[in-house]
Amino acid sequence: MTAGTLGAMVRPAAAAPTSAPRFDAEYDVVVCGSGMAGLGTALFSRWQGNEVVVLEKAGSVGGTTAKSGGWYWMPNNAAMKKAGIADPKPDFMKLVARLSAPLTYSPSSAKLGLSDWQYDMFEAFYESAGTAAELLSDKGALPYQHPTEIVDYWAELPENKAPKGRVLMPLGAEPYNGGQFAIRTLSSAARRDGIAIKTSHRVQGLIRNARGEVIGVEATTAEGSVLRLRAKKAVVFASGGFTHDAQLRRDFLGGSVVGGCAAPSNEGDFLRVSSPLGVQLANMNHAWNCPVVLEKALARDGSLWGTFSASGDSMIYVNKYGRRVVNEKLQYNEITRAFWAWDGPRQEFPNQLLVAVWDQQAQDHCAQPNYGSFIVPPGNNDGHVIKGATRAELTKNIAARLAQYREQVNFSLAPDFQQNLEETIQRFNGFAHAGKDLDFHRGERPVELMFNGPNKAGSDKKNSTMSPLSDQGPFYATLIAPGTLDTKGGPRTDTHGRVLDVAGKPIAGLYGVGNCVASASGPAYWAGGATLGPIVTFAYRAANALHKEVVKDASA
Amino acid sequence: MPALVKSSCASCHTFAKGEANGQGPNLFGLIGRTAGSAPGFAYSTGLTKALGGKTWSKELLDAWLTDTERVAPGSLMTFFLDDAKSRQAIVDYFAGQQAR
Repeated sequence: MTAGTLGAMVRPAAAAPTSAPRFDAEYDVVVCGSGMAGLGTALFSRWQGNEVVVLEKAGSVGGTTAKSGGWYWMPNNAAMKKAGIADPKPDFMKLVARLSAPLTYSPSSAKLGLSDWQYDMFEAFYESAGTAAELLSDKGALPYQHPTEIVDYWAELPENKAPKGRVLMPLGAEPYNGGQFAIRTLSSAARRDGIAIKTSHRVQGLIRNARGEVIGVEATTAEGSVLRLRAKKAVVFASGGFTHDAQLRRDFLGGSVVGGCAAPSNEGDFLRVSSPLGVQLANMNHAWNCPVVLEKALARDGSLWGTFSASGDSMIYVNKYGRRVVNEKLQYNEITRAFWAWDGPRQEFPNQLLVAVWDQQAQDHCAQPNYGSFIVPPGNNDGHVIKGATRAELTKNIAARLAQYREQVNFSLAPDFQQNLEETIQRFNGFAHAGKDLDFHRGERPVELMFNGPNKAGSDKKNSTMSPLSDQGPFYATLIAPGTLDTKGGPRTDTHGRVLDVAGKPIAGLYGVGNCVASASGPAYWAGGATLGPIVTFAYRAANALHKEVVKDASA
Repeated sequence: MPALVKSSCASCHTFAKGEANGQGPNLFGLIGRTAGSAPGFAYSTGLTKALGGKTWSKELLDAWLTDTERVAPGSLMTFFLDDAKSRQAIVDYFAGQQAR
């Protein structure tokens, strides 16, 4: 874990004032960001009587939440209890410990091999998740459904006593558009309950008093004027990670990442704003990973979705040598790590890009317009799809497409790509016939079946994730690259969302929730909704803590 | 494209002719187009009920950007903007796009 300040990227913050600072407006709580973290914290604070403003950098509300499936993973939630699904705490703690601390996990130790911080954060998550979800629902801000057919990403682990049931989804939503439902109901409730929401307000500086307490923000409006807004109790950052800042990605993320599907406004603002305060950074090397279609990511297509469901049975991923290197159905956070394998002698990432290859059968039966699928139905834009009547022509066309991006990506096919691809397909076809992938065990875990996507109706395959690739063209391909749905590092907070300094002390008046602060989950992606679950929970906990903050002296 | 249009619309929409739909439909040639008609886009029933068959005019777009929830309750697009000048800038962009 990285700790320290971002010396090289410090921008001057608002200087500590020498006389009473003048403010354009005053609130109890100033929230920066309008995704689930921002709107959630704002609502929980407002319901305790605070005057709250939400400042959103973008012109539209919702941040990355609006682009998401809107699932939130809530341990021991009320709907589970109602449905008779037990979620005992000791097993839950072991499950998340095993996934988040793979190097030190020790089920017999008091803290299970977790750091004290991780243990406390996970415990707080378990204790408060259900309460937070019920409050949002009871107030009409986030009514939910309880889709018990959705399975955890590690349903098969013995520590997982509730492999189904922790996921909640906004009421009325499909699994791919819940975020839009959530932002609609959350923002409606916010406006109904008297929370001011100001879009096109970018916060680029914190205002502190002589004691170093955070007492407000400087926000730049669309026209370029700078407003000074006082926060009598607290400033809450909920502004997302640094997916769309290429320099921060290179500086802090371990592997190559070409971009991602976070809201385009997620440019690491909180890192820059908080650096002058000596915040303690953590988990900077990890992100919520997902493969992305290379060409869409490079085009910075703001509407991009990660490849959450890699549909296609007669479909394989191969690397520059035409070899399979991974189980194509492995869930998104995990499969992304396969791109980062390093070949020392060759000094290259042989899987820097993977090429998805499929045949007409998969094109006809496995296309889907959502979940970030790269096999899209007719009528949808397929500019990212490379075609070839034969495998030789496909290979030639893949090479030509790669050449277009040569200045951005150092990657080209090996001379024996096609020859190896033929062998790879023969071997895969054998696995498909037998229903057993002896190399990568494709389709053997519940989550892989959940994300498998559509198949030809009425087929009686032994393994629904695999079908032989035809020897007859046409063939199709697309370029897949590692990406993030957002990053998960930033200033460390305590279990109440208070931002900690390098000495581990809370910085008075400064809170953080969501992807702009460090996630205690480390490298792990526990389940669908493991992003928004803790966000809902810590929004609730932060609001409870900041409600008790004393009004800070703005003249001192 | 003006920064305000980009930051208001681009996290869900594409703009150029023939570009893929995102979370929202492609917006090429919006003014003068029939609402709810982008090929390949699955509109919410909220939008279809309130706007289906209507033509996007500058006035309708201005009302829409003021508060989508008021114009089409249940639509999946959440957008509101009180500032008339900013709305005008966005509407002008789409009107100009049509003129080009």
